[in-house]
Amino acid sequence: MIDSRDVLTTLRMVQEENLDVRTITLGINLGECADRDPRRMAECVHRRIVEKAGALVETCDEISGRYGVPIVNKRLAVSAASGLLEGHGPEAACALADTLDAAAREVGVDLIGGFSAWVHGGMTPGERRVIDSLPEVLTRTERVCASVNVASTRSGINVDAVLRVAESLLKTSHADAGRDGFAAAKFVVFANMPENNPFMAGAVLGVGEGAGVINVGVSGPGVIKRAIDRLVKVHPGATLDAIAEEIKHTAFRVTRTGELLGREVARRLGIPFGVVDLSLAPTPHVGDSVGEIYQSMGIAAVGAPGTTAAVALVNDAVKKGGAFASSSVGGLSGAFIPVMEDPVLSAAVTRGDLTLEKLEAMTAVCSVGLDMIVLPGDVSVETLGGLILDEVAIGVTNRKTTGVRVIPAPGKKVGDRLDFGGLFGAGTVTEPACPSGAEIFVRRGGHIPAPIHSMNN
Amino acid sequence: MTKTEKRWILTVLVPDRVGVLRDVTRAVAGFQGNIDAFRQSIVAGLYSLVLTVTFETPPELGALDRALRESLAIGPDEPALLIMPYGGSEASRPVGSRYVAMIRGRDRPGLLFHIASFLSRRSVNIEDWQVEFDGDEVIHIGQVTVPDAADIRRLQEDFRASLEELGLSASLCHENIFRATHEIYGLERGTPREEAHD
Repeated sequence: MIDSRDVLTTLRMVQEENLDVRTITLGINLGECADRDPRRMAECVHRRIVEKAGALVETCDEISGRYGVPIVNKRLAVSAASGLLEGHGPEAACALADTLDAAAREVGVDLIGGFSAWVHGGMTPGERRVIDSLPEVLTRTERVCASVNVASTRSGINVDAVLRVAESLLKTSHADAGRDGFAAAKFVVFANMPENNPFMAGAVLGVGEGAGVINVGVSGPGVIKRAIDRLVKVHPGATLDAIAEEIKHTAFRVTRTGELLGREVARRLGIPFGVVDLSLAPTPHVGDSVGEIYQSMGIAAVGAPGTTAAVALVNDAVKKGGAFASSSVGGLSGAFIPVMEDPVLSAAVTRGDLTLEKLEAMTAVCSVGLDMIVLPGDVSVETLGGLILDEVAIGVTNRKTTGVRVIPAPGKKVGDRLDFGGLFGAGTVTEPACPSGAEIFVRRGGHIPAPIHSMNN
Repeated sequence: MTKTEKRWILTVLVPDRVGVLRDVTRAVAGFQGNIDAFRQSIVAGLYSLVLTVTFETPPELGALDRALRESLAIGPDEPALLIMPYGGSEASRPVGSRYVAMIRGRDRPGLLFHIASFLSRRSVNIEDWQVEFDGDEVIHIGQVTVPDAADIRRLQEDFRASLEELGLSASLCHENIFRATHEIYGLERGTPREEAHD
């Protein structure tokens, strides 16, 4: 007989603490669809997605019921669109995006990632096509997500690509001014972009992956927070290493849940299982916040000195618990800090406790980067470029993934509020303490060489 | 003599105290019996035990009964002991998947009858069941076998609704979710139970 405490612990995590499988993401390689004829390419893309993903949602729902654990999102990540767009014009980029959107709708998934390019070393015409078509693609489609890798520890930072991306990002938000620039929330720019990340907007089937793969994204900030609350209630003087230990144990359980469900979905679909990515990804719902974890640890005002250390502790403990739980841990795995999606972080920005500079410091120790932050609509290309350069420099130098997902909100000024609704949440417009002054540096372009520790062969 | 005839089933129900199991096994070992199935529990201060034992040379029933009563210090007329030939029922074990049922809420007369009737009507076999109390609430946790042909989503929904009518919360989840979150083994190889069934 299974121990009754084990039963009650697991059920409590699911029923009261918002434990869920945040996403099961099916990766599909579209390489075979490359074709000089854009119409034939689109037909192949549509056919391949529907064939591979037709049973995804139904299978996930079935497995979710079997174990009593919600699988909140079912998503797709295709191989980088840039590969299909070599030799094609802008019309083909839009046609491909429309096809991805339609196929995603047809199989019942809410988002499809992979309108992507890796340009850390240089840009091919197809990769430029991806970047330049972002304003059109992200406003005309509902489900398509895009990502561009502009830097890597091995290659350094492609500053020309950063500038091109910044220009495109700004155009994207202004092209979607009617929705406060929402289209920009579906785009992320990376350093060291993972090839097996199941989370949006950065999910893409990497070049090293096979024909198809199931990757799982598990979350559970509510579970971690409640575990810390229980520990502190019993031991009010609990030390930080005791809290780290508690997080590690809880992360183990959360990771196991994701792997169990993911493997079963993969088995039923006849697709190899890839990785489980335990990333504490908050939602705007109360009790599902990463910021609340820091509060439970004793950071009353998120943004106060000590916050970065708290993020580092949580990020590391989550990785350790996940690594012990599974030999298939990958993706981003750690703690996200998406401001708009987390009510506590969002409120801290509104109050002024949490500044852009503090967030940047936190990204040096969290699992991703500057995420879901609203900027003034009149932010300059150079300021955006500088923000991206700073963030990817942290990733390149620290041999980690960093990303930037910011939304320049047309017509909005610092202090204005905007609400995207749903999982994208709400936030207050903020900006760097010193928004200008680096224009000449940013406009120099070229390449920032790879750091010395990239030469470790 | 067949193997079945050499195998006996033995049940014991006595007030719990230190040494009950020692006393039972002393008597069984005295006849060179080998215990091959065993389950004991303590319910409301009563020690209850069911076991099967196989003898190379089966003793007379009366001799075994006397040895057990003497070892347990219970009188000849006390109905605390039952010994009978093992009928061999393992072959009829229900086939299906193991699920864990949990019901929580205010206790009431007839609750277990309600649950058992619901599960029985749907050919769900109860294999293990325990009841605990947490303040004013009663918690039922049971391990059941759901036939493979069952519509599990419908069953789960009906189960929840049936208990909700009585003001209780209920869930029915596959046992592997509880094993995966509390046991250490490689999920890429399947759960220990799945391996055992292979």
